[in-house]
Amino acid sequence: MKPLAMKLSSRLLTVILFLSPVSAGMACAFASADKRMGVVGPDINQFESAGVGDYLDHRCGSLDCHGQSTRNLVLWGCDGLRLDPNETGLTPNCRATGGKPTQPQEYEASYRSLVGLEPAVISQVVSSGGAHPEYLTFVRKARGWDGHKGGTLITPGDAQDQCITSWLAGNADQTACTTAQDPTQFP
Amino acid sequence: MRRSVVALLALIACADPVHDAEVTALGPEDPGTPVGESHRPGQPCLVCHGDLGPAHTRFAVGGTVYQSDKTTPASGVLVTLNDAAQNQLQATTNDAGNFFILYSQWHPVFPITPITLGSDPQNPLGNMVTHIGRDGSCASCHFGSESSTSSPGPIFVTSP
Repeated sequence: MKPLAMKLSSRLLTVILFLSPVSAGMACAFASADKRMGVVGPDINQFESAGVGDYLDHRCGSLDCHGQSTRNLVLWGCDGLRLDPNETGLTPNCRATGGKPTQPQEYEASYRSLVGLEPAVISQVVSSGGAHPEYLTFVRKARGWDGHKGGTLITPGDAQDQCITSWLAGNADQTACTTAQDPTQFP
Repeated sequence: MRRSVVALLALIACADPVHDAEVTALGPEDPGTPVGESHRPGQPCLVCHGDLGPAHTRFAVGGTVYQSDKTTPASGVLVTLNDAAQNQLQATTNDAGNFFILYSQWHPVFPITPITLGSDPQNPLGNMVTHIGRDGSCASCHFGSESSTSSPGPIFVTSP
């Protein structure tokens, strides 16, 4: 019996060795061509309506910081970098020239830039109802927990922090976002 | 020979090609202007006068102010800057429109805001609507002859 068992095992092993790459190849070959990895992002409407985008533009989007197109995180808006090359005008609370209010396209561009930084991580944070926002690099940088050229900008629990974390949790705190734009809230 | 190799390696290790390129991009000095407080108006001062040199004097903030035509230097303009730690520093523009504050005088806590031009706070010759987030070189943002999507254009006073 032993020689037969060994013979069977040997044949089985041969079959497995032969089929494994074939199976693997078939698995790859039959993957859906239009397969996409989804991103569970925070609410884009709240980004504009609750003042999250305005806060980020005002706080982080100055032309010497994230109002530069060369940054990983790029923020557009009336406080800094503009999307429309024909920007002109004068509007209070925006830069003196090119001061048209932040446009919907600019909110969307900033949103996409922010969510696109770490799509898998932000999906996890948003899916969990905003738990552990510190998993996100941009939160850690703003809190000064990771290296950040702009330094420590926010303290956990302050209005600026609440603006971001409440948005990630699905219910952006508009009051916090408005308060966060006050320069006296800066460090 | 060995010492030369070690020195060369040390030099290479300390070089910052990005910063070197920024310095080079500023171009040569204007032969008509001696190196000093009036040189290179409109250029980002801290590229050379920052922590990486090559200038010996380090600035906290530096820039150039123009008259309302945005090309003629505005001299004698008081520039007032306030940082996040409630420290206020002032400097006056020279004949080239240049002003600067030495780093030895001020280690600003960013953001710097408000920033005003002129000696009369009730009637300023200009004020910066936004803030300085991290770069003490005014010309890092205020470049070009006019405003654009990525620059508000030159700093200028609203009246002579």
